[in-house]
Amino acid sequence: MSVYRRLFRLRSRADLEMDQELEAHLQFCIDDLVRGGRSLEEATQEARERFGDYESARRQLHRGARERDAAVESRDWLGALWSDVCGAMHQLRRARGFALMAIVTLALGIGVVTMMFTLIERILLRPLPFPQSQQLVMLTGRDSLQHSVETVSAADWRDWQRDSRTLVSTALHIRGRRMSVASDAGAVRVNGQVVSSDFFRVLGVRFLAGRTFDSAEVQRNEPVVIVSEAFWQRQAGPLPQLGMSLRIDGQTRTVIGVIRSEDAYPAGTDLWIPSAFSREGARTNINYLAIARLRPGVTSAVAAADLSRIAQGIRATDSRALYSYGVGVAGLQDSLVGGAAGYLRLLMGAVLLVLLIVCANLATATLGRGASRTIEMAVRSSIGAGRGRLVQQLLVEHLLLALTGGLLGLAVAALGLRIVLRVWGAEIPRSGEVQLDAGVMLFAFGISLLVGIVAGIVPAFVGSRVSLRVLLSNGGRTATRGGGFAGAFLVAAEVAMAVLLLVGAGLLIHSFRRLLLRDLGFDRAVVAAEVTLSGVRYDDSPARRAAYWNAAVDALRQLPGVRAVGVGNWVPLGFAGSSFIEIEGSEIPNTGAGYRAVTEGYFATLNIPLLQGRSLAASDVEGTPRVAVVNRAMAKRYWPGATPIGKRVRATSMEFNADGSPAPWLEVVGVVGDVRHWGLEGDITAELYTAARQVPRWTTAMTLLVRGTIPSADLVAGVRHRLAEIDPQVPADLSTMQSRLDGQLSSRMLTLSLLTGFAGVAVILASLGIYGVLAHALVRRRRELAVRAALGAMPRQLIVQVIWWAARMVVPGTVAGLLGAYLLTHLMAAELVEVQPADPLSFAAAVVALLAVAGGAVLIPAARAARLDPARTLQAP
Amino acid sequence: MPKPADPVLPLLKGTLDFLILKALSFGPMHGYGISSWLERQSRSEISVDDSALYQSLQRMEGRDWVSAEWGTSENNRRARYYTLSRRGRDHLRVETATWLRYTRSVTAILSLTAREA
Repeated sequence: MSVYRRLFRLRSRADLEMDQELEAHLQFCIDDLVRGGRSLEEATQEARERFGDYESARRQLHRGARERDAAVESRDWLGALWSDVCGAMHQLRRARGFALMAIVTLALGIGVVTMMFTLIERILLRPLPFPQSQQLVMLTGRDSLQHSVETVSAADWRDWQRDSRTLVSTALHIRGRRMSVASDAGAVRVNGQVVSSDFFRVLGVRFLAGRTFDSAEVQRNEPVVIVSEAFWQRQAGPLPQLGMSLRIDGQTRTVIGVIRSEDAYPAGTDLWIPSAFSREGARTNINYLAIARLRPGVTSAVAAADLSRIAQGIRATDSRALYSYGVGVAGLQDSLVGGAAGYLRLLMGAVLLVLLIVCANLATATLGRGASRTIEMAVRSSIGAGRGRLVQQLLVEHLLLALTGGLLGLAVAALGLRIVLRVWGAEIPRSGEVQLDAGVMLFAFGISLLVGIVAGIVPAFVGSRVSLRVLLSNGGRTATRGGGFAGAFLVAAEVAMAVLLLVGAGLLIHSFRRLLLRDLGFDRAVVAAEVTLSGVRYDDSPARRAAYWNAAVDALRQLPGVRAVGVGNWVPLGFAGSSFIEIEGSEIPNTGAGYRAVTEGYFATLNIPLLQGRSLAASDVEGTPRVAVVNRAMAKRYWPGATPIGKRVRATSMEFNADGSPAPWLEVVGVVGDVRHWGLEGDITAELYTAARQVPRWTTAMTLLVRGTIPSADLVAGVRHRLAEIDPQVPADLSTMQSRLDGQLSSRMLTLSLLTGFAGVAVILASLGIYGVLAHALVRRRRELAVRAALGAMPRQLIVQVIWWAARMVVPGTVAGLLGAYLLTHLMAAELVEVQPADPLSFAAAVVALLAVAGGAVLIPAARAARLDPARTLQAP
Repeated sequence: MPKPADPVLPLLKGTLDFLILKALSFGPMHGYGISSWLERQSRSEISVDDSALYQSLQRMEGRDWVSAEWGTSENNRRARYYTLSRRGRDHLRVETATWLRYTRSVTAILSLTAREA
């Protein structure tokens, strides 16, 4: 309807105007002609003739006039938009404080959201760099309780490979380990992987140079190796030279292929060594990771059903297949990202709340400003500016702010990412792929538009509802009640979201405190030097290995400032193996314990107390009766209420004999204190310590531990130097226990720091909102307050009034926030340690923190109310 | 104003626009004013078809070369007055330069031919 009327009106106005114009023209012409001596009749005739056929010319000009008006109107709309932009700039220049506040909050909000989005997009959403990577999966076993077991046995894997109908290809690899590469320049330790021949075919890696492993060559056990580009550049210069030899763990291998560093899987691997996995027979020897490529169109569930069918077949024929109660199939990408997904999602949720608060804050500030602009708006609307026009003007203003904020937000995001990657880069999976790109910028732009529209539309609709009549009838003093209410509501919502974030941050902080209060059970001021003895010199000579460890222990003990030195095959805060064990006289089947082969100095070095019996001794060597020490957890679990001293136990898997004879019995000679081997976040598990001198098979890869009277970081250089003196061809990985611990805690620190930061930003923004609404209310109702002051109200009563206004926003907001937190914090249960999602302490702390900051926001307006001068206020216009 | 006795020159296609712009560069005028100004300035050599004049004005108003406003004439008559806009002024400058270059060249060539003959 309106469209037709519009067209109709347009036509009539344009036509009418044209007719008037033509009429005027004819009159001028006739005047001239008459003045020139024509009769009026002749003149009229001639004036019309100058148009040719007057009537048709007139019709044509009508049409032309309509087209012209349409062109002018569309030009005017653009012009209006432009004038809105100019007007907005002018407005913002006038309200510099408001604009600055808005741009800073927007930059913060958009910046943190963009930063988190970048992390999530790069880490969680972006596919792995392999072709059809969604078809890549990780295969896991299941135990009798249907618990997923990440590693599988080579025997099971071979059966899956042979019988599956859903896999294109599959490969096995061993959890990465450090390998030493020797050259004339000395030896270095690098990240190596032992993989089956199809490994790169499964992934679909394209080779930069050379080729992948050939299965026949792997069966023949030919010494070949594939290296990454980064390793190559470190080692051999930029030009890849295939066929070159490398001495890896003492064995000379020929380089047959080079791949791009981005394609390295697992990320950061330097070189890959093939294995036929033909000697690892037992189905309980689960030390291998299996990856596979699914057939096109096959889902993980279908593949899992297919492989589980095979696993049941294995179970039916082999009772020792303890991990063949099923097969799990999970996307490789999900498996890689693992625990990081949880905290990244948590942080993204937090960041969205921050963004919502930014929106609410901007809208509130606009409403507050709207009050001072109400008259301007009302006047404009009364002189004919349409409501759409007014809304457009506000929108333009906010889009301008949001886009400026977005641009700065990109800078905030870039800075934030740089800090996060510098501090936590090593802990974030795929962190090498994180960067700001066009997609992220587009995201930031989109978010800016969205924020601009949301924050602009709300006040536009509340604000443009004011009529001049209402405004003038109360003397321009009172703005809309609606505006005030909307502002208070928005601020209450901000408070609620801030409380929610504070509770989340509080829970994490509380968890972290509980973690730090935990006892590790060992001294962390210890230097750890990981060393692998391999190559012709050591491979078949336990005696030479023993000589090395003895020499190393002696040499390190000589170092100034060293108090104790010990050696263990697996030391705390690092990888470790577990063994199936058998307790003499007990019927517990298939039970297990952590297995450690350590020297006599181990417990003293780590400060692990001896609780009962004796420790291991230098005299516990090969040929003497086998002995073992257990930790308190193991003693409690397997010999409850009795002393384990003198009892016997054997490590059936870790000390299995290739000839099939049973593992030897070990006599328990002592009990030591518990340690948290897996760090503060891990549980205490049963541990069995055997004497390293009695198990030569476990003396190839060991870690030397050194505790000094001086800070451990200062010992590192000396330790490295001494070890190089013993055998320059044997490199060592050095670290301190403290740095290992810090590394373990750093992803928790990241979550904690970011969430606390977000909560802090949220509280500050909410307080700004509270302040804005109070300051605005004070202006709006200053006459009322002045009258009360004039009638004898004490300043104290005026302050109470302001606090009452604040309470009406803060109390419902806080209650809503606590309720929301109660409903939502269970989502972050996985990130909490020893703390319940409904932890009352964290909830209380959130309220206290919020009230403390909000109190500051109330103070200034309250003080202003107290100083109100009734006489001057009431005399003011 | 008397109609000239000699047959008047037909207007070259495309020249009307910038002749009008030139007229308006001396100040705002209504349609009839432009028409009589052109006749006067060309000493009645050029006569403008009034229908074409208004079509040209409409086109140029649509393009924002001229703008129009109702006003009152000396003899107290309401008329639609046209004003040269900034863009119209720019356009006029460019068109004038091009036209002068063009006519100079044409004139030079035509004069040359006459001399040789």
